[in-house]
Order: sequence, then C-alpha cells, then structure tokens
Amino acid sequence: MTAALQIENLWIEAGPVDDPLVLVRGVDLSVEPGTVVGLVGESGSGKTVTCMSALGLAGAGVRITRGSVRAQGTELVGADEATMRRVRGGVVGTVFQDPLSALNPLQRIGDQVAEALVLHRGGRRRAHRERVVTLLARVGIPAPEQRARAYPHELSGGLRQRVAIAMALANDPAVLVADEPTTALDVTVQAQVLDVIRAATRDEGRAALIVTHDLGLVAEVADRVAVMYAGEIVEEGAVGSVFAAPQHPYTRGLLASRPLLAPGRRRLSAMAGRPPLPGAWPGGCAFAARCPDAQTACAEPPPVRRGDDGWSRCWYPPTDDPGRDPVEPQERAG
Amino acid sequence: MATAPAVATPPPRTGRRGRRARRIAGTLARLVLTLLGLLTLLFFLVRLSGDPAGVLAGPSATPAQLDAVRAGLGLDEPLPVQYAQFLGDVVRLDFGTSVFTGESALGTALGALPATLLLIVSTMLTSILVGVPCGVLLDRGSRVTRALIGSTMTLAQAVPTFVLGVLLSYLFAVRLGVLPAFGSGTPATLVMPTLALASFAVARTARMVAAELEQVEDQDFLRTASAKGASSRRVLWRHALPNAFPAVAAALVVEMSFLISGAVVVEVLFAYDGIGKELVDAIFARDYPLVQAAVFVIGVFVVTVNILGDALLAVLDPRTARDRA
Repeated sequence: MTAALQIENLWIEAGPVDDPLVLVRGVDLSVEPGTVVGLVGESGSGKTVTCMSALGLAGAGVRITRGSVRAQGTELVGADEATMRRVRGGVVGTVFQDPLSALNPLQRIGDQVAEALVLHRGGRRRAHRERVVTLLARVGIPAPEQRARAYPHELSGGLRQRVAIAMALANDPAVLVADEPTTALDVTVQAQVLDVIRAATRDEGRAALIVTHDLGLVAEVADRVAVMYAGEIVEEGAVGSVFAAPQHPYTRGLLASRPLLAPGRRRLSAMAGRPPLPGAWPGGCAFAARCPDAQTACAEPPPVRRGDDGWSRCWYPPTDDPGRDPVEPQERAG
Repeated sequence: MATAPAVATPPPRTGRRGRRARRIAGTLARLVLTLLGLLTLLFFLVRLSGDPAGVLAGPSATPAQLDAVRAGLGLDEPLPVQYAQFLGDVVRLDFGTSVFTGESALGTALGALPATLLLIVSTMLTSILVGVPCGVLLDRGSRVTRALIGSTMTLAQAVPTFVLGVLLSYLFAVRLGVLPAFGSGTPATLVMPTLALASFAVARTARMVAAELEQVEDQDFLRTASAKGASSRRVLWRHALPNAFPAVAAALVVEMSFLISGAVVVEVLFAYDGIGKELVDAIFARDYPLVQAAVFVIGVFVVTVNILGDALLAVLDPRTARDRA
C-alpha cells in the first residue's frame, strides 16, 4: 500500500544559497492511509517548515535541497505549478494555526469554502452552495445556511477554525495537514475543534499529519507520533508505545514536562537548557548538550535503532542497555 | 458529526434601523456645518479682496456713480446685514445673478460643473487603470521594472501640474500637432487636461497599491488560498488586491477632493470650460455672486464625494461597516 504522504530524506534550507541556513536535515516520515501522525517538537525544531515546504507553502527563500515528498504517489519536490495546484486542496487539505488571520476578511465564509470547490471541480461558486452548507454543518457550525453569509470577523475563533477545516475538507482530500490547529484557541474550544479533527480523520479514515507541541492532543487523536529536534526526527512510533516507553531522552523529557492533573503531588520537571537554533546545531547528537545521560559516544551522530514498531536516534536507548554504567560527566558535543 | 459548540448569538437586529437613521442625520449635520463654514469664510474673503463697484463702473466713474452701483448690489448695507441676507439667500439657493452676464449665478456655476466632473472622472479612471497595474509591478516586478516605474512615479509626483501642462501642450499641440492646445467639448480636448491632472494621482495610487500589497503579502489568508489550490495570479487578484483596495480607495477619495483644486489650474491652462475656469474668471472680474455660487457648488461636490467615499469603503470592507454602526 502506498503511503498517503511519504516524506523521504527531506533537507530544507533558507537564506543565501552560498551561506544557507539549514532548517531540516533528512526527515523521513510516512503517513499511511487512515493513520493520524502527530509531529511534535519545540519551536524552531523544523516541524512546521517540514509540512509547509512539503506543500510548497513555506514562503520565499525557504527551499528543499534534497529528498522527496509524495502525496498519493505524486512527487511534489520539483513539481510544476499545475501539479502543485491540483494536489493542494485536492489531495492534501491544509489547516493553519491562527484562524483569526487564515480567512480572507473581505469574503463571506461560504464563498471562501466554495472557492476551494470551484478550484478543483470547476463551475461557479453558487453552484456549490449546497455542498458548502453540508460542509459547514459537518464541522459543527450551527445554522450553516445563515453562517455561510457571515464574514470572518462576525465569527468566534473556534468557528473560524471550523470554517478553515471545512475548507480543507471541501474536496475530500486523502490527507489533512494541520499546523498547530488548536494552539490559538481557548482551552474549551480546543476540545471541540479536536473533536472535529478526530471526526475528519479517524472516523472517516483519512490520513492526517498534525503538527503540534501539545502531547495531549497527540494522545487524543494520533495513531503514531514523530518527535522532532533540531531539524531531525529523533523518535517515531505508535503513540501507545512511545508514550509508555519513550526511547529517546528528548521524548522522555517532553513527556515529563507535561503537566498532569493526576492525584498526588509531583514536581513539574522542565528540561534544562534550550533547543539549539538552526545554524547552531552541534555535530553528533544534537540533544547531547541537554541530555542528562549524555556520554562520550554522543559526540558522534547516533545510529537509528529500530524497534518492533518504530525507531529512535540515540546511542543509549533505555531498553537497549538496561545495565548501563552510571552516568558519566556530561560530554558536550561539537 | 461534531459536538454542538457554544456560539455567540448574532447581534440583535432591533435598533439597526435606528442607528442608521442617526448616522444619516449625523452626516447631514456635518454637511450643513461644513458648507456654512465654507460660505462664511468665502463671504468675508471676497469682501476683503476688493470693491466690485470699481470694476463694474469703470475707472472713470464718479463717486456718485460708484455709490449707485454699490446700492444696486446691496453693498451699501453694513456687513452683518449683508451676511444675514447672504445666508438667507443661500438657504433658498438664491445666489443672485452674475454681475456681468445677468444670468443666474448658480445656474452658470452648475452649467460649468459637468465638464469638470467629466475631467475628474476621466482622471480618476486613469489613476486606477494605470496606477493599480503600476502598483502591482512596483511590488511584484523585476528589479529593473521596479526601478523604472519607481523613478517614473517620483518624477510624476515631483513635476507641478502647471509645468507638466505646459510641457504636454508644447509636445502634443505645438510640436506634434496631434492634440488641440485648448478648448473643450470634444474627447480630444480632454486628453491633455486629464494627463496633467492624473500624473500625481497615478503615482499616488501606484505607491499606495504597492505599499498595501506589501502589507497584505505575508497575511495568512493568502497562504490559505494557495493551500486551497489557487494559482499565484488568482491569489493576487482575488485575495491580495481586494484587501489592498480599502486603503487605496480611501486615499483616492481624499485625492478626488484635491483634484478639484488641480482642475482649476488645468482648466485655466487649457482654456477648458469647467467650473474651475469659471471661478477664476469670476474672481478676476470681482463677480461676487458667481464666485460664491461656484465655491458653493464645489463645496457641495467635495462634501458629497467624502460621504459617498465613506459609503464605498463600507462596501469594500465589511469590517468598516460594522465599526461605524
């Protein structure tokens, strides 16, 4: 079975060609049909730029230098405009982070949803009115017929994000890519929008790539999770097994720094240090400088270790080496 | 498929009509106040500028003849009385008759208005039809295109209207002989006055469009449109430019008010029979009634343009309509 979205050895850089800033280095990521993948990481880890570049939406100056992105088998790296237009909105629907600015303020929302249909199915906007109302109803917008005539500024943030999702789903794309779809929303609204996303993915068997830093969201909607750090994926696996037994120390840190409303008091652990910025990535394991268990070997690029269902990039995965020696003094790589 | 969200109910419809009525009343009050101020200023300025009796009666008139002329024009009354009388007449739209032609001053001024409106409309059209594409190129063009258009626009803004008018006249009428140097009434006579008048407005429009496009450029909704599968051309024309237009339209409305003063210069220069030329002629002839009528008509025009401009902005940007309600 071909993957709905297949990213292979993707390298992305920005800035001047003779002195580029490398943003993403060799990302491999596969989203199988009917699977929801959560791509997590801190700001600057390259998770958003990976998705946006894959669709050619990263903006001027950001370019893919190597690798391949295939959506339903169609190669997108180096593809011509016509192919990209057909894929965008047709094969891959995209939802962005900030619903307040993601909609055209001058157009009625119904018209904006209809535009997605016109672009892929032809005809006039009016001809798609029925489907627009159906779509709006599907993402839980009350009184969709009236709301279709509303302007974005007349809707709340949650409703606007629903409109954005309706727009992304308009042409029944095989893949939904969502970049921090709930980050800009109130907590109560987040849960509702999450329901919509879950319905559009899990319940309808649609593949999805959801970029987020919210591990709770991943636990709720994703089947698999990929953890990004310093432009690389450091761990990938089924959500259940990664959350239960994280193999990479960065994943462990992320999970430990998650506030839990569980009974019993527990000090919230924050990871020491900050993620290195693009351009300042050390050789070897990029996480070594912050890793509590870093050892001499971490100065070299760690090998990929495959488990039953997933893999990680660490010299010392916990299950691999249970009787490891006590931690040596921290070894700084680079 | 999703849970019902908590939704804010739409704003109640009651009171919308009341608000609109209040808004219209406010606009009318503004219009009346503006015109009253304009006419008051005009009344005293005209009377400071000289004595029409002297012009009318001629240089060889005796004091007795001058007094007679003044009495005939009502100029022998004290100023406050004249002012009250003037305002009373204005309310009845009675501006008296032209001192020279004896025809209704308001009628003469209104008769000259269409030619000026034509000039202004053709100038506005030129500004939009030339200015918007130039603005797009100024923002999206290659480095050479941008430099070329940028410096042309700077030049267009820097050369005063009357200088440009003279240059155009020399080139097209004297050297090339393809356009009439002056006159009005035929399409050909409209060309040079429009060019002279539009050069500044075109440059201004182009710069506004470019600046607004740059502002709009990194807005998320453009990326949304791309993500839907829109071509970059469609993103520009359907999403970026419409969002640049409200600000450009606002600038054009202001520009239109200024155009009328530019029209005065251009009309005189090209002997184009519009209200601007009528006004200047009337001033030199100290034809008070006609000056007052012409300024009144121009004032009404400017205020109307501004009111219509506000309405246009509300159409272009739904957010504005709500803010003002």
